[in-house]
Amino acid sequence: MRRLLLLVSGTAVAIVVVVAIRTHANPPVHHPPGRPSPTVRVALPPPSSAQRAYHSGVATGAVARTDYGAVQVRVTVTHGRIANVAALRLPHGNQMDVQLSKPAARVLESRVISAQSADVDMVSGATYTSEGYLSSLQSALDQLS
Amino acid sequence: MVIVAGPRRQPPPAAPAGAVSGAAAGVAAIMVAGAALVTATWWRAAPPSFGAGAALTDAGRLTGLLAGYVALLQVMLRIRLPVVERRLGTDSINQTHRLFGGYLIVLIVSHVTLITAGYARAAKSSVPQQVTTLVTSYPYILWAVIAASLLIGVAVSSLPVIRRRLLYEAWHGLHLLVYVALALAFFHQVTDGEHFRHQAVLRAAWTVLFAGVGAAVIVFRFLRPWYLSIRHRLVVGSVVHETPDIISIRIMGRNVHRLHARPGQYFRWRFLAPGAWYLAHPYSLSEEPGGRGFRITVRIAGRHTAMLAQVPAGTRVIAEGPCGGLVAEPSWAGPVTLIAGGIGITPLRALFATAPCAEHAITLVYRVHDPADIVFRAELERIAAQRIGTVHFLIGRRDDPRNDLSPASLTRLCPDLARSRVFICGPAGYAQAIRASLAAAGVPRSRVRSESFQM
Repeated sequence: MRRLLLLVSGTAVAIVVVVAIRTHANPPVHHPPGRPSPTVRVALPPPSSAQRAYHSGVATGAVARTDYGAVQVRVTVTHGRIANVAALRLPHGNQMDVQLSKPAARVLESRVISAQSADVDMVSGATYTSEGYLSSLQSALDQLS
Repeated sequence: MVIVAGPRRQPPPAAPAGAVSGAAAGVAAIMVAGAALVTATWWRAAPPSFGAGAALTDAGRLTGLLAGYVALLQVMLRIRLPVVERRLGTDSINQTHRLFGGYLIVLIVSHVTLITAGYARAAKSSVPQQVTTLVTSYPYILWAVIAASLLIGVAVSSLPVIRRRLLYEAWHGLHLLVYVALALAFFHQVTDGEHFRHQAVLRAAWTVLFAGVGAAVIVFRFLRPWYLSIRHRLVVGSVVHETPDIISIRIMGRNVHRLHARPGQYFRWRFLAPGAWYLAHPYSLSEEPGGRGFRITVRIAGRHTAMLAQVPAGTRVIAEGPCGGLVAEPSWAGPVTLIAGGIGITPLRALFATAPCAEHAITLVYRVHDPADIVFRAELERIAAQRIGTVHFLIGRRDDPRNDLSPASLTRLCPDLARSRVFICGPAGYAQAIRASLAAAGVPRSRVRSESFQM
């Protein structure tokens, strides 16, 4: 019994430590729904809209295949600026995929609008969705440039 | 005892017995390395969870992977791999199996709790809602729930307080459900497991691991014993009564030396006779294995053993083994002390005749409740005479002052105790009391090999 308690408490401590280290190494993004996150980090300085103006309109990106399923977005550009990005297809293989990919898509949309480009950081913890999302977005933007 | 120096039998080469704790450390190191590999898989193979409840979900995934791994270790400890049996010995395998059994249940309960809580937070749903979602909309989760219930049932049936009230047959039958549970649980691992669902290579590796362990069970627990029984034509030769309730069964066969059984070891014997064929019971070899067969000695203590007294000559016998770690080290040149309680004399009888030791330095202490319970008296005295060894018969119950097992009285019975290699076999409580006394008498644990039986 004593050995079992030792083993269990040792394992519990080890699990708490590795989960904490891993979460710390890849901090999750907390994003209040509906509002752009104030802590969005942008990989490149936002180019001036004069340099990188898009034609106004709506474009649907190519379907990006990820390990978790297909991702496809539609971008709306008004007055040369990316106004919104709608996620048409997101991974939905199971409940957990849906629970993960929707908030990730919202984070990505706010980053894209701030940066006015598809060249933004991926959402850690949802890298597959992010990759698919950004590559589909890039193909949509290519149609409007 | 009578002083006649006889030729000493040369025992077959054995694993260095001094390396018991070394072997245990090696096995422990392999187990820990496996757990580290599982943790590395968890770390690398899937991105960390995201959003609310992420830490709970991640911890839940890790406990799930570890539970799968520990379940496989449990099976591997139980398939009587000859090298594991010989190196670790039955008592230490049993202790580890009990420890891991409890550990496995803790891991499974943690896995279920953490995943449910993590997913519920991510989905902002209540725990009961989340349980319903998990069971109804994820593949094979219902199977996994059944598997977890079976494993918990088996663990509960193995708690000493419950086990004592169960027939061995009922308890054993329940334990076989473990295989059903592991098969059921496997499917949710590869279809829902975040680390296997998207990674064909890892999924294949995990599948091969499970299939390999399943194949090892079939080979080592079923095919090998049957094959050996047929190859060696193992049959009952004769049954004789040593005392009114202790019988010796001689099992005959061809080329039995090729089974590599060592004095002190045992097989799990299955007698293909009506009413006995579905059970395999462990009985020690009560004589050094010879060229034409084995002798086992059994105390009649229940329905099954009573049936063995009636088993006709020629009955086919299936032997699983050899098992057990009561094996002597061939290079040992110091004194040897054997301490038997009751029917625990059987493996020690074989070691008394064969264990290598210094000249005239083998001592056997044999305690029985009643003088009528002594078996092999003539044999033991003959061996003592040949090897110039000593036999002490202690008669009476354990609490009898004459049977004092204190360090002082053990040292008085065996003057060379502190330098001895010691073998113990007897009921669990007796073996434990002796081990405690030996530790107090300054015998290092690495020089004590002990096996016990529960009735």
